[in-house]
Amino acid sequence: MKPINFYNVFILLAVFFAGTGFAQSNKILIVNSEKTVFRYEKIATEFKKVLQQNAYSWTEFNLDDHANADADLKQLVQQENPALIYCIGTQAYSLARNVAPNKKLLFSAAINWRRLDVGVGTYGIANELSSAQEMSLLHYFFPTIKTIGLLYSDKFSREYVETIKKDALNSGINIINKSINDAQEISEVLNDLLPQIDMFWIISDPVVLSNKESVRQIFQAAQQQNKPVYAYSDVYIEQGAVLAISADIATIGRQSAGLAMMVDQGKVPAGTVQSPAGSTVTLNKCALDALKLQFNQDALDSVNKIVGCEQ
Amino acid sequence: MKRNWPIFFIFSVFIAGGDWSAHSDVRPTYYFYNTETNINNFASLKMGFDIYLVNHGGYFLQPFDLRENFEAVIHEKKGDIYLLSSWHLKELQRKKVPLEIALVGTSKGNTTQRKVLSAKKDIVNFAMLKNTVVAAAGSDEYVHSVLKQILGKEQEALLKDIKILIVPKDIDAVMAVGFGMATAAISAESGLDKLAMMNPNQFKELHSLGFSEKDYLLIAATLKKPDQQETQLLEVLRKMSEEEAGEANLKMLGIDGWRAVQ
Amino acid sequence: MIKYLSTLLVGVLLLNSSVYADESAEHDSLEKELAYLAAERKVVVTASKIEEHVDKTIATTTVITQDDIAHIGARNLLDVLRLVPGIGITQTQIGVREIEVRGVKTLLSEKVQIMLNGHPLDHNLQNAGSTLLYDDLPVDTIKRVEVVRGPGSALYGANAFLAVINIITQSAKDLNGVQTSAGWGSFDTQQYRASWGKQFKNSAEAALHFNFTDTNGINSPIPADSRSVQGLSSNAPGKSQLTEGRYDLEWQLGYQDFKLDGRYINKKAGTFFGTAAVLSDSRTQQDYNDYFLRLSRAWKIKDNFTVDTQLFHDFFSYDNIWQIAPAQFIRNGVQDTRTGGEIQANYHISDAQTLISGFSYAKEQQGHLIDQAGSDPAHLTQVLPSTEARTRNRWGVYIEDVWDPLKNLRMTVGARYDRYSDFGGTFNPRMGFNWEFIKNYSLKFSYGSAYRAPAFGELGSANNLVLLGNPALQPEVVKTFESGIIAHPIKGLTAQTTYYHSSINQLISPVAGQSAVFQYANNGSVIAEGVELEARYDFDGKLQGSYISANHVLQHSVQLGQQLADVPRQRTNFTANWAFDNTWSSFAHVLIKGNTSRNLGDVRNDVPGYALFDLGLLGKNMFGKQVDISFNVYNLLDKRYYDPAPASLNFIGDYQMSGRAFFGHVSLKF
Repeated sequence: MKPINFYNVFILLAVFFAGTGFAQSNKILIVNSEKTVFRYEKIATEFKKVLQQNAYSWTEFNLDDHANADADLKQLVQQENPALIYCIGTQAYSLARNVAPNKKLLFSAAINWRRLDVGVGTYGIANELSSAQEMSLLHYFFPTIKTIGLLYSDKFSREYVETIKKDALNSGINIINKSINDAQEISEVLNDLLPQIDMFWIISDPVVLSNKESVRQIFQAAQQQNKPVYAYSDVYIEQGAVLAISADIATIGRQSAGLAMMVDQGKVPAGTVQSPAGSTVTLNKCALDALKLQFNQDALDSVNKIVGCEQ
Repeated sequence: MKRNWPIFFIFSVFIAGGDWSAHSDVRPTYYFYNTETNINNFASLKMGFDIYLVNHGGYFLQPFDLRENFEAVIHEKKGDIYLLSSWHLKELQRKKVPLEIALVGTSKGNTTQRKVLSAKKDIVNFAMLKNTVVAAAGSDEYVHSVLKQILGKEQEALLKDIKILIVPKDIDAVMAVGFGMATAAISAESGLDKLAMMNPNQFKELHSLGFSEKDYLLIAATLKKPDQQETQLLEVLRKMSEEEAGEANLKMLGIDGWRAVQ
Repeated sequence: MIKYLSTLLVGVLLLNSSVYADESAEHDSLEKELAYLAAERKVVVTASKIEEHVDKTIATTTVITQDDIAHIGARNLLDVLRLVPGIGITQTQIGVREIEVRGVKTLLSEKVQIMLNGHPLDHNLQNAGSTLLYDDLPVDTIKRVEVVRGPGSALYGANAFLAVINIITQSAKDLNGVQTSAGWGSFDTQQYRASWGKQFKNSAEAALHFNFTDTNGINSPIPADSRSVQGLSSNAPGKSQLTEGRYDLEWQLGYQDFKLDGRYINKKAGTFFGTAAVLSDSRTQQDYNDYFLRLSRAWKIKDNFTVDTQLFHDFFSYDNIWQIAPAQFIRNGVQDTRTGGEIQANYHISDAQTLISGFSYAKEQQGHLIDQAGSDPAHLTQVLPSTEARTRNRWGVYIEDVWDPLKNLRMTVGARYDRYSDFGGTFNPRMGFNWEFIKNYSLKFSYGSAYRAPAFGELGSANNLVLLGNPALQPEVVKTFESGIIAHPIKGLTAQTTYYHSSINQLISPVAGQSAVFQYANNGSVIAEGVELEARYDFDGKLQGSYISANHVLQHSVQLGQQLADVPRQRTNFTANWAFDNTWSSFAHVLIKGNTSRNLGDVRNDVPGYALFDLGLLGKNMFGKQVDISFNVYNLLDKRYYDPAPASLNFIGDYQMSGRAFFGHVSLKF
């Protein structure tokens, strides 16, 4: 075959591609990593509400309903030809990325999205609030806090912690981070870390927060050394966290839906990943008083919820 | 011992009631639904109020997150206090629901507020909001209505090309602009004041594109001229700001006191 | 008591409030949050940022996935490789197939480094190359094959000369249960496979693979041999005797940061034609044993600094009986071992830069020589050794920096120095960049050199009237530069053009000798250059799963101003996979190979080019998604075609290759 013939084939192929003009449906496929997980399900519910209001149709696929999720999802993608696949949780995203690499994907509820294998057609709502936002709020609430410590696992949170460190510097806060590979290392590492810091920050790291025992160890150690704990979710207020700024789960669902529709209409730059837009600030007045921690009184009305000792 | 009685009271309601909700409708109640906020921690709101109210007449607060449910209560039952937004009240009055303002919420001495549409400084006019996201706290309908009002008749057509992102509170809306999740935000002016304190750099990047008309803050309304029981309920409400626990509850509603409207 | 009651009451109120309000954030209790984190913990996305995306590397890489292999209906590794641009497969007289890469091919394909899960398989120290054992590697347990064309010595050391083929097999996670499969086809071919894998809760994991394959071979007609043409007793005319049977057992065991893996292979084969230009009968028996054991551990020193260590032991042996005349046999055997270790440090300087550096050491030994001859294969007597026992120590140090100075620019610079106890040192650099100059269009450029260490046989073959070793050999060296463009002009379409220019110097080849007909020497050079064009389009929507692809190479390899013999100037592959529905798909492949010229002095006509058409049907996820079935027809049109035979065999013409052949395959998942 002469080279010229080969180019002809290319031209033919190109004409063929240009001519097919694939019709796109505006159907969205929702892939949920585990429907029994509250966060995933809540996000899915809010997402669907917005789609309904905007006359979008959707199909749902729950990973925990399928023994052979890989093949089943592939089949469903083929059948439904969705305009976009909305992946709730890392498992859902990983699977969809493998099964439908050419589809537009939108993820949410994936811890530290920066560790994901993100392609050109990937969009997302981060699971964590923008650390710049958290830092400016923390600095506003606790102007005297200068050094914050955190534990994380390299496997799940390295990129997130790198971002935190950069953003913290801009707010004049120094971050001391220690990585662990196993929750069993928590006590030992904390003993070393706590004396160096003004406040301990619980980030959403699945290795650090392996079970209730690891949560207990963190609060016990912090209490013994009289260090306040700031957490990414208000579920830790009850354990003794002095402040929690949580990303609002329902907003993540709504925000995802908005982004999904914009992506479908081609109005979003490729690769857009947004931070969650909604937050809830919870202050534990009881812990605050016990620690005699200086809190900016002007900031009180920015707190959504104040928890006292009686609660 | 002083505290034991109310605790016993609530406890007995639960024990005796079995299905508490079926019996609760005979108790005087404050019903709450606010189109202007997107409160998602009803439990703490209810808990805060109920604990306070046990010592102040044994009334209850019942918050709603669905407008239909709230309105159904107004239609079915008389004799309670309804806490709602001024916009919502006007909507209901338009539908001939005979609600009347009894108290108006205050914040730092003001009874009214206006909403601001703010955006980064590179957005210089409404037209530039086409195909963008506007973040706001409140119900979908309310936000649409405010945005429509701010845009005015001339720019009303833009509404269909703007995506509204509902967030829990004003500060989220304005911060969403700063962090690039939205192009513009609708918030109360106080929301911008907060941003100025929390993140002055972001605040400096914003400017106001337009304002809504002034409107009352949260309203306490009755279905008719208050009768004796309702007057008692209103009085409890009005005096809430005098006690620390009561004021903390009001703050969760976004106000710091009540004022009677003549 | 009061506190207790209050707590209780708070609970009561919470319960009641939910009658009206939706579930609130407060209901997202610690348990729910921990359940969410546990769900997220199930997925670790990437092991290392060093794993580069194909688009971003400076190397020319082709990846063939498990799914692709299923569609191809591949019977063995070569059925997969022959679709890769720049690679051609041909038959040899002793049985093993040659892998031609970028216009260069040799009998034992020693210029191609084959690796299994990153471990080099060039365990054959006598002859180099891995094809004797790996050309017919069963593919059922393969997850992915990565083919990197171009020199790889700067990273992998010796013998990553023209290409690196890394075979990645299914891990415990990929298996998660039991998988079995069986295949049957023409030439009494049968293949069976069983795999088991499990991840345990205590971070332990295990995967075991077992394969058995057996075939009677293609039975090509052999009309004559060097004896029959002289009127001596001979098996010719007859048929080729390339029977092949093998057992493979592979294991991957992991616990925390430790991993123990390896593979054992026993392969028995006849021969295609035979040695000494004499057609062999079924009494030529090649018997190979091979295994490797690798213990590795990943250490994390700091967040951005990790160290990978490994110890390995490789073993290879053969014990072959060759029929060199109807009643004359020789038996050769050796045992080779390579034992060593490697330590590699990975320093993640920043998000944009990673530095890796390492040291490796290995001791290679050859011994247990068997050299016998006689008229009855059961009663042979000792003869002088045909090679020598030998020991070689070698160590190497390497460093590579992968740096993204801009978001759309990746630069890679690396170098490796290796020192051998028997011939000295060699230094090999590698550098290049990948620049996405317009969105979806990337320009690549790379330059690198590689070396191949002389094999023990090349250094020490002895007592052979035809070919002797040469202890003074130096490694052969290749310098390659290549440049290419990768484009994604529209969604689903990937197109790539690569130009390469390789200059091989100090080529190790037999030259006319003094005490034998030939002796190995560093002699001459080869210039190979060419253009590789590839395109693949993946359909979307209702046609998802369907794709069409094409690759075409134009290659020109010259030695002493003469086009290399037996290598085509051009080769084209067209493939199309059509997914009818979620279950059934059909695969078609057309291979078009150009003529191949003869050696200087070989007056035969060129070996004519040919076009072959293969067709397959695959049914996936049937019967409760547990069964996959495929049926493939190779050379559907029964085209008669030939692979080139050397000039010394001109009396038989060339090797006639297989006509139409069938292969059916069933796999089961539990």
